[in-house]
Order: sequence, then C-alpha cells, then structure tokens
Amino acid sequence: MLEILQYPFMQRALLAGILSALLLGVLGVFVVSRKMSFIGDGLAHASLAGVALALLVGWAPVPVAMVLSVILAILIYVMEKKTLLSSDMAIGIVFTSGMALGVLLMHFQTGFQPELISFLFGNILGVSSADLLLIGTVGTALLIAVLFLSKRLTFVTLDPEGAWLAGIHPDRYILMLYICVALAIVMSIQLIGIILVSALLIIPSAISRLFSTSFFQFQMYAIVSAVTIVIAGLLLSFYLDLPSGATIILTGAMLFFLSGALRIVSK
Amino acid sequence: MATTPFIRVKDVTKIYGDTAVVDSVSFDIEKGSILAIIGPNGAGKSTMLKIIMGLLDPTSGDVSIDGKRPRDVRTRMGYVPQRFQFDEWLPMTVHEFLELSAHVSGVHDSEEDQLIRERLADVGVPDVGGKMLSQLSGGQLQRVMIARALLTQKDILLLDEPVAGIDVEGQRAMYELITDINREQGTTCILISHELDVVFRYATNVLCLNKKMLCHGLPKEAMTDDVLAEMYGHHTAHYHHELEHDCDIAQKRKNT
Repeated sequence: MLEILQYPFMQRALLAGILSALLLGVLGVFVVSRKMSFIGDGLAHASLAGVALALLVGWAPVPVAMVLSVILAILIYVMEKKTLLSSDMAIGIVFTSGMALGVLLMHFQTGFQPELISFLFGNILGVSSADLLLIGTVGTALLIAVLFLSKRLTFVTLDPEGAWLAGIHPDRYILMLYICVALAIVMSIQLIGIILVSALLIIPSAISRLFSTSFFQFQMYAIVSAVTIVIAGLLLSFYLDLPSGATIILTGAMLFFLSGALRIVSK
Repeated sequence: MATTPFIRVKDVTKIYGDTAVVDSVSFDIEKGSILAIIGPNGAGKSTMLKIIMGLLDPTSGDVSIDGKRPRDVRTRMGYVPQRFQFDEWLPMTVHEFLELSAHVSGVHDSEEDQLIRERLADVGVPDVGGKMLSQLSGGQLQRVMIARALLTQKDILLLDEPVAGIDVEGQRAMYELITDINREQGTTCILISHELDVVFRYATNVLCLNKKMLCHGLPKEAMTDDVLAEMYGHHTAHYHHELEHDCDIAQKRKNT
C-alpha cells in the first residue's frame, strides 16, 4: 500500500476528491454544452455566505453551504425564467450578492479564521469523517441520478423543443442540473476551495473535447480527466507540501495545455 | 352528424408585450391532410406552429388535437425546425442524436440500433449514422431531422420551412419525401413555407397568415390575387396563373 494511504486524512481527501471529480466531470459536460461555465464560479463564490454564516453561529459549514447553494441555484433558475435577465446576468447577481453577504458575515467574526481560509483556498486536511459521510451520501445519490438521467439531460441540453415533443419537461431537468451543480460544487470546496473549484467543472471537459468524436467519448474522457487531475493534484500537494486546491487546478491546467499541444502536433 | 376535426384552432391570439403576433385565428385541419401555412416574415407562422405543438400557450383561444390539449398529445407529433440550431463545438454523432429520441420515447435498447438504421434509410441517408452532426450538409441534416421526427409512429408532422438553405434538387426531393410520408402513413402534415409553388404542388389546404388569418381552404380557391396582394403588399396575378397549372398537376398526382 502506498505510504500516503495510511493517513486517514489522506484517505478521506482521496475518497471525497474522487467522488467530487466523478460528479464535476460528468456535470461539466452539460454545463459547458449549455455555455454556462460561469454558473460554477457563481455558486461557489456565493456559497461563501453559507460557510461564513455556519462558522459564525457554530454550525457545520458544508451542510449550511449546500442548503444555501441549492436555494441560490433555484433563484438563478427563476430569474432566468421569470425575468428578461440573461443567464450570465442572473448568475452575476447571485455571485456577487452571496460573496458580499459572506464578507459581511466574516466582518462579525473576531480573530484569525483558519477554517475560513481553508474553504477559500482548499485544504487537504479539511475533510472530516462527518464531512466524508455527508459528501459520500449526497455525492453517490447525485452521481446515480445524473448517470441515470444522462440521456434526458443531454436531450434537453441539445434540443429542448425536441425533448418537449418526446414527452420531457425540459425546464424540470434544467432546474435539476442547476441543483446538482450547486451540491457538487459545495462538496468540493473543502479540497479545492471556493476560489478555484469551478475550474474542475470546466478543465476536464475542455481536455475531453480535444479528443472526442462522440458525446459518449466526451463524457467518458471528461470523467477520466477529472479523476486523474484530482488524484495527481492531491498526491503532488501531499508530497510537495503545497495547498491542495491550487495544486489540483494547476495540475489540470498543465494537463490541458499538454493535451492541446499533443492535439496540435498530431494533426 | 358533424364530426370533430382532427385539429381545431379556435380564436387563438398570442400577445407579446402589447403586440399581437397572432390575432384571432381559427381554422380546422382534417386528418391526413397537408396544410401549408404561408405569410410574410413576422406573420406569426412559427408562433402558430409552436402553439399547436403546445410549446407556447395562447394568450386567448384554444387548440385541440383529437379533442385533447396539445401538450397532452405532444408525443404524437414530430417536428422539423427551419434549421436545427446546435453547437458545432459539441461532438455528437447522428446515431447518438437519434438515440436520445428513441430512449426517451421508450424504444427498447435492443431495438434502437435497428430502428435508427431503418429511419435513416427511409429518408435517404443510410450511411450518416457514424458522422458527427457538424459534418453533415444542410440537406443531410434536414433529412436526419425528419428521421428523428418520425423515429416512432407519429400522427402529425410539423415542418417549419424544412428546405431553407437546401439546393433546388434537394428541396424537390425533400417535398417528395414529405408527401410520400403523408400518403403512405397517413401522417397529417403542417408545413410553413415562403414559396407559393410549394403550396400549389404539395399542400391539400392552405392557411394565409399575416397576424390575422387572411384565407383558409383549398389552395386554388383560397389563394386569390386579392388575398396574395393583401398578404405580400403587391400583385402576384401572373405568377398565380402559372401556379394554378401546377396545382392541377399536383391534384392529378394526388388522385392517382
């Protein structure tokens, strides 16, 4: 067994990281296909309000951030549907409002807040056993739901009118997609951090697109890329004693640029 | 005893803001007919089609299909858009695209491949299944859209300018395909077109729309010079005369 796996914190980090990567990898394909990569950033940053509120009143940050992110995801959806606002405008309003509320709540906390810094930038030690249980339960349920409904989500993403005539209510699936993204993002903020987590929604899909010639390949390569990025990033973070979030994302960015170069050379 | 028409559009109005894009339109469509909807740009043709599909609710009035609300029978309809808007960035094969419809329509996994192959062959593009959507020509894509619309048994086929961007020969082949489907499967077709000759050649009925309904009936009888002049703002008498000749030919072909 690798030395690294003997550490309980690393076991928890890897399990949480792999589950987050599986989810963000598969959800990222739908998010980039709908051209709304910004939603990951928006929901992650807005979740700061939930984390700050939980820390202020002494609750567990992840469940509070999950509940708040789901509410904000529904708010984005309603703003898109019921007003004349475009998707990026709705996300931008929620992004900045949530972040501002988080900063305001942080103002009422005295002294240095290491836990808050961990949530902002990611921390390999951040995943507790209770967190892992929550992430494992919610993540597994989400993953099963998303994989089970994958074709329907693809249909409403590609062709909402066709999906409607096939008997689907596209709006319901789009709302479900937003909620899944919100939960998956919050699941990942302890390891990767609020600031950087959305990259794990986008980079795996970007790498995958370079090589895929079908939607199935697009999904599979994105999942494999996401898991590879998280495992490699966590290992590097451990051995080089670097912040986990930044190391994971830079590993992903490096893999993307290498893939791009390989694609250009092989053409 | 009078029978209820297959599709009944009754006093339908659709208002956006303070503008009526469809204004008090009423007409019936018989089962197995081909209705052509014509009118200038912005006449409300596509809006009318989306109301029939149940995608849009009318501001007032109602539509019934076989006595039911459109949204309740929408799985009995196939739709071919003017130009399928998809992101060329997306890697998706034709087979995968058709598989989505088959899956949602409840086709068993073991039958999907065979069904998709058959439909692609039916519309004259048997070899495109493995190609990406972005690799298809305009005509091939429209044929794939018809294959998708008719993947499972449909009673109604809605076509929104289905030949836009296709060469003349491709257009003719496409309309022949639509009339074949109508004749062989009894599919009721509702077709938006800008071309009057298409109406005379292929449609059994016509609806002239310019927000309000200007005419409805047999093309030869309904599309008078006055109606066309009112709809398009200029006289089309000479053209009309030539088209009547086409209409006679089309009628003879339908009768045989």
